[in-house]
Amino acid sequence: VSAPTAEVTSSRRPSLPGALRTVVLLAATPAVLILAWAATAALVDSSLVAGPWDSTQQMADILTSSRYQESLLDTVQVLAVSYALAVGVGGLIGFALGLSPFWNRAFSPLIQGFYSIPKVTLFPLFLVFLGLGVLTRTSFAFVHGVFPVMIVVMAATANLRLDPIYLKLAASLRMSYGRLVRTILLPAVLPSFLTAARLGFGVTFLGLLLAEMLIGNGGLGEELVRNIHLVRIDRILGQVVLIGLLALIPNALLRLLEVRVTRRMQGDVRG
Amino acid sequence: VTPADVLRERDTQRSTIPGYLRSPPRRVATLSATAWTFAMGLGVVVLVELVARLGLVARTTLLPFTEMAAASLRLLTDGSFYDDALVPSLVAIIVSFILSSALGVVLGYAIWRVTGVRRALDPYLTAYYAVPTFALYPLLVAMWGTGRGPIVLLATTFSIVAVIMNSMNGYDSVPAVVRKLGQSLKVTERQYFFKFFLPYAVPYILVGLRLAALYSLLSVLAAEFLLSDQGIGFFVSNAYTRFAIADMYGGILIILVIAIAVERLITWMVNRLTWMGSLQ
Repeated sequence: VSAPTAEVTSSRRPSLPGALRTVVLLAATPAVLILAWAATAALVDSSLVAGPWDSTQQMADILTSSRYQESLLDTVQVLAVSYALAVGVGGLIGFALGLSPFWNRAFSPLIQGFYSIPKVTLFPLFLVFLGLGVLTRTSFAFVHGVFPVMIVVMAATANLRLDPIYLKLAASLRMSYGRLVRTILLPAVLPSFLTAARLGFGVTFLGLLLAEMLIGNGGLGEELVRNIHLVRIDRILGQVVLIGLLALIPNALLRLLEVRVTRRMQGDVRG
Repeated sequence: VTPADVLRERDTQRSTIPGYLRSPPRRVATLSATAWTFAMGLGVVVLVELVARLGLVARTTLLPFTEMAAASLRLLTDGSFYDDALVPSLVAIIVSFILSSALGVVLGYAIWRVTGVRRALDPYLTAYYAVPTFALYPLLVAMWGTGRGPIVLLATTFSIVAVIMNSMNGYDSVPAVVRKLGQSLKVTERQYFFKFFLPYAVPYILVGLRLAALYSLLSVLAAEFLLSDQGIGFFVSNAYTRFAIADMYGGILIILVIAIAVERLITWMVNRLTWMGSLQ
């Protein structure tokens, strides 16, 4: 997604100062969504759809309950472990396979195939082999996150590995293969690795939430499902918003890091 | 030493050329890469078969692969499996795939055309897949129950953004020269749109459609798995709760085959229809 194409239109009308314009642009989407939400809640029977205000109150309410705080902490901990594993393992395997054009071709269809499987169908296997505890939640989230990371890093490494510029540079400096990998390919793949890490976060979180919804003994996923049977729409909405915020903050930080590193490595951000 | 020297040297005395400049091997241990792919896939199947047959894992946990396959075939000859599991799932997947594809291409164009809207939406579209959209499913169920509607709605909501973003990339990719070509050929707006602009964006749109297919599959099955009373996701989760281990593995195997077939088919179509070479 590239943004710079839009500069032209600002010449038509007197433009707002840059910073203010950015804030307005950023706030527009949430503002429209909240207005639409409020309008829907006002039009429909309010017991069926809770408005933004009710849900915010519920969210504040939920956050003060010690039970929910425990679930939140639980989810964050499991998420941190499984995400770190997914990025580490996915990055390492992806890089290693990307370095070898032959094995890259041999493994790609298998990895793509496994990635395209809806992992949720394998969930009973996790239960059967790993039980109902933290181990299942962690590994289920890990399995969701590791393949996207691996695929992106692998493709990026494979592209660099076959790029004649890098290879000829290394050859003309009489570099060994080990030095080529360490001093040229590894730094060059860093921006793609950070992209992969950002993409992997959302998928890992999704996997964890699914596992928690399915097992139902702890975590934010369980809290969500618990409220279905109570038909507490206001509570569910409050939690959905909370989960959204929880996901967006790390994503924004990762994106910031990605943009900075990419800019430093390439002088500009691509893609 | 210039690259040209290096290349010349490669032709005369191979030994001084670093290995990484040589073209990769075509075969390892007499097998091509494709043969290795099949060998490794087959290896996993044989491993499952052996582990189960030798009793390393209890029969109540793991079945030999041949018995899983037999269970799948038995399900596929069972009429009620079609009516209650396979058909409802496939219909939901196809409907949400078509909805998200059609709406995504159109919405993507609308957003792409209006600069202000696009700039406002861009950061949120990029961050969309960081948010577990699936958290909405309990909400939809609480509001409308466990019918097919909430499932299709969830799957479409989840898939559509991939189509929107990739179509927008596609519209971005149309260079000014194509516009100028259209002008100098004096085509109408309509002709320009359908014969120049849209075809140019097709390779990117196809990438979005491939993701939409996988995402529809994923979210329909996950929703059925979690809370539903029909569909193949429900069938597998129900078989698990009933300890019907053969039904469970049979159902899982059918899903795996469908998922891989869909992925391969769409990748093949993308590579066939695209004019820019393989996009992976």
